Order: sequence, then structure tokens, then C-alpha cells
Amino acid sequence: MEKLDNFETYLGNRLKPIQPDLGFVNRLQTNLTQKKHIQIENNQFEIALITTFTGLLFGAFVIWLLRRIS
Amino acid sequence: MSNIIEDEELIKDASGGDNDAFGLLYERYVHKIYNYIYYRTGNVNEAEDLTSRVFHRSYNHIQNYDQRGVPFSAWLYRIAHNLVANWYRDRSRKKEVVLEDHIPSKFHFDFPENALETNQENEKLLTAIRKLPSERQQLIILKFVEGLSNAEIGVIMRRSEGAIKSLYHRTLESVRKEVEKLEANQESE
Repeated sequence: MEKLDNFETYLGNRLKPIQPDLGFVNRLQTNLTQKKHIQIENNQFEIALITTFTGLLFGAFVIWLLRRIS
Repeated sequence: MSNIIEDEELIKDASGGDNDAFGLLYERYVHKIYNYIYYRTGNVNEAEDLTSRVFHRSYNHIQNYDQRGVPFSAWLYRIAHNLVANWYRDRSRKKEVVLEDHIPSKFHFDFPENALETNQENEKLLTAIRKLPSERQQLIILKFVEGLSNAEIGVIMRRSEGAIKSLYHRTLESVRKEVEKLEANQESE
């Protein structure tokens, strides 16, 4: 147990926080804080509606075509 | 994690598009996230790239952040952990991690013989830590580099304080054995 306590102290002495490059920190901050909020229009509902309508129309056409053939 | 009340206000403002509020959150946590990623990857360039991704992702998804029970820092650490895991996965497909620029500059000393010895010692330790499973590496870094308590680590890793305590002791033992193994290998060479 003492061995493990000593090892814990050893790790505590070795693993210390380091300082990132200040140029990087400042560049990233500028990049983030000057970013424009882009609101992407949520048009998934419209896409789903158009897909369903197109499918129904195509189905109706196929049925009409089959009736005409037979 | 003591800034939780102030964080809440900043998050609310940042969610509403206030970039200055997000800037303050960034200032508060960038060093911690950078350190976490640096110790996980051992590479300055990757640490900068992944830190940048963590903050861009948090910026883009801050509206989705749910404050109930999870501090903002824990949310950031989780993002960082996931990105590091993806990085390791991609990297393992390509090649092994190169241990060349692992030693933080603060470990360099004025006396060359001391510097060499200290760097070899640190390299050995970091090699031993990186041989651990991902969650154990995470635990060691959060504990020693970030100085977090078991309870705080538990929130980040979604485990109870008791589970963290138990995992911590097993992890310490694993690192110690790994270091001894590396020392034995060095002596036999």
C-alpha cells in the first residue's frame, strides 16, 4: 500500500498541466467569437411532403397504366 | 466546476447568439480541454486541432446542452473524450502513435544531463499510461493533470464516486506494473 502511495506522489509530481501556445489560444478565440450564427432552414418537413406526394402520384400513374394495359 | 452559476448565465446568452458569452466560456475551459487532449494524444498539433474541434462543436451545439446535473466542463470533456476516441480509431487504421514530441517543454531543465534523464523518465511514464484502456487514461489525466475529485470525474465518466475510487486504485496498480515492466526491459537491453 505504501508502494502505491509513493507511486501516487510520483505521478502527482510528473503529470502537471502545460500551457498551450498563446497564439493558438487567441486565434481560436477570435475564430469562434467572430463567427456568424448561421441558421440553417429546417426544410425536412417540406421534403417529406414532396416525396410522399410524388410517390402517391407515381403510384396512381402505375395503377392507371396497368388498367389501360389490361 | 465551481463556476456553475455563472456558466449557466453565459450558456443562456451564448445559446441566444451572444459570441462574447461563448468567448468567456472558452477562456474558462480552453486550457483544461487542451491539457486533457494533449496528454491523451501526446502531440501538440493534434492537441490544437482537436481542441479547436471541441470548441467548434460546442459552439454549434450549445443549444442542445442540457444543464441538469452535468456541468458545462463535463460536457466539454465528454466531447473531447469522443473526439480523442475517434482520433485513436482513425490513427490505428493508419499507424502507431509516434512518441517523439510527447515531453512538455516545462519538463526541460537547464542542465542537459538532468533534462535527458527527466525526459526519459517522463517518456516512460507516458508510454505506460498510453498502454492503458481509454477510460483508465482518462481517469489518470483528469485526476492528476486536471486535479479533479472522484465525484467530479464520476460526473464526466457517468459513474458513481465509489466506482471511480475503485477504478482509480486498479489503474494506479496497472500503471505502476507497466512502468516496472518498461524499466525491466530497459535494464535487459
